Amino acid sequence: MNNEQSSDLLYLTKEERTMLSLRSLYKHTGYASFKMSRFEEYDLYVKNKEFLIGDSVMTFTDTDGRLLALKPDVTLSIVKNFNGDAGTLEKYCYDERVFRFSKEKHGFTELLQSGIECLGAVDLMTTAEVITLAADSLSRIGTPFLLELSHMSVIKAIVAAMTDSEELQRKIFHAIGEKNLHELKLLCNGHVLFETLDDVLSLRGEPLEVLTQLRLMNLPDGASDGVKELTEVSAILSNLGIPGIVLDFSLVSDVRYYNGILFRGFVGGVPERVLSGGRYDPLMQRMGKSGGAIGFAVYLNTLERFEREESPEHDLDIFLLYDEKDDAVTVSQRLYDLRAQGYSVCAGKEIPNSLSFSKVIDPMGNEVSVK
Amino acid sequence: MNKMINVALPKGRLGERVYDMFEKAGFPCPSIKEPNRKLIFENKEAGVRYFWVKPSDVAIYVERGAADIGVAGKDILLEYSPDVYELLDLGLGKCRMAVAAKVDFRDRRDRTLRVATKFPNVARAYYAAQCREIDIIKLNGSIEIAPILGLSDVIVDIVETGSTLKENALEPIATVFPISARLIVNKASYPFNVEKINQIKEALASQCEE
Repeated sequence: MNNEQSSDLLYLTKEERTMLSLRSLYKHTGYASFKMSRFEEYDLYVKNKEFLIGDSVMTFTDTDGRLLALKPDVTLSIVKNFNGDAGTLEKYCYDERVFRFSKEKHGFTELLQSGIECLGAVDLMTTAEVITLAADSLSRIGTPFLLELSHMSVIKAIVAAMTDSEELQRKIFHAIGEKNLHELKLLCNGHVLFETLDDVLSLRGEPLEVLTQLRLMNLPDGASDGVKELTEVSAILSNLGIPGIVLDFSLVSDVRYYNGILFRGFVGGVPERVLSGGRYDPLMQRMGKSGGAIGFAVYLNTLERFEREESPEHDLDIFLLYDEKDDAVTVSQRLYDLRAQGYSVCAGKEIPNSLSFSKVIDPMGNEVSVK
Repeated sequence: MNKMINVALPKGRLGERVYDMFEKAGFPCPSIKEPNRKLIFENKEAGVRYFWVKPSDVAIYVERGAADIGVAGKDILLEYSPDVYELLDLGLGKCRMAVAAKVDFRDRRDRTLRVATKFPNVARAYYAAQCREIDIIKLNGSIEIAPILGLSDVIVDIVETGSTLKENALEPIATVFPISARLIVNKASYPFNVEKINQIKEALASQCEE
């Protein structure tokens, strides 16, 4: 990369730099770019409302009377366009703007999101690759980072063995997600499996160690597939030396959409998750597609906080202060030379309030002291 | 390096009792008891920084990561649904969210129920579960006078002893849910401070069982 290119990158926001870095990571690993329109048929979201983060969608009527939505999500559009069979594997990456209701902003907001999706014949290799890419993505955003890993079928098997009531299951899942053991105890109402659930949720740490403890527990039927898959994936990750992976079974999601491995990434200094993903075969089935699916999204808007911490002390290196007496040829030559030397510089008769400078000079190159 | 844990405490009597629990748990900060108007107190050795905030704001400080942990009433957590971990029921500040009405109130299901409350989301969820159409009147205080002046049919509010209701010729007619103070934790802060947060949680939990 030449100097000019690197100084171009200097003016990108953390959000934009990360987007480019992630795009290059995903493309380099064989993921094809998925470009799409900002609009999507509203119908797609109505049928899968619970899959969306927040249930509000911004809609408008197209000239032909169709109800369209400003895309609140990318995954649904990618799944909709998948026409492969269970034997093929399609891998896509994207960076797209999505429109969602934001509790913080008390209204709709536009968010930049990057991510990948693998659809079709998802196997162990694919799963491990996606998780590795998630960890790689986090490391490109900042350090320290942590990727929490969980498996829906482990918790689902325990909860399903406790109750058939969908309403109660939903409440139990909610309490699990909050690590709210006191509420969970009340909901489980003395059920013998509460102790098992409590034990599983108290496990947290390095995957292979946690899995050793998990295998010693007496888990209901149905949990074993999850334990097996986690063990196989963790062995691969451990062999590759992927850092920052922890198992935590309080990470759960909607059973109507997710069925396998789930993960969520954090980067030190960002007060919310910056990445989340998982295996979502049930969504594929709901949308009439064959095969499995796994992917994740990186919420680039969460990186705004880095911007404030990383912003340089001054906007520009030099301000060249001149007045009417100065010769325009000399001033413009000085300005041109300084830029050629790689300085960021601008000139004027008055120092603008909106910018800050490392130093102020006159056309002769002498430093001017400014109050 | 010993990372400081930021703790948002609810201003007032409950917050003082909560601080006493933290102190007993091994996280003292004596300067907090000095009579002054400071809002932030820290003890570098114990690796903890406390700050007093309005009780209804604790969840916001924790959700947005300005505080790693905090103590908030279940009423606030159910009203605002912050995306946080709820690690412990401290068993302090026990009261309940209740529906109250004038002593001579007759509930008629053939008309829209007018509900005055400081907790519109709680009230909406409670009546939605009963398939009941309601008209929510959001107030910020002195809720008790709403039924007296005919502004509402009922109120949904926090009831401790019930004496305020009684003095205003109101009575509780249903409990929405019991309330107590909960230890909440920011979801992104937890993974990076898991040992210390669990240490605090365990030390507080042992006091709850006493």
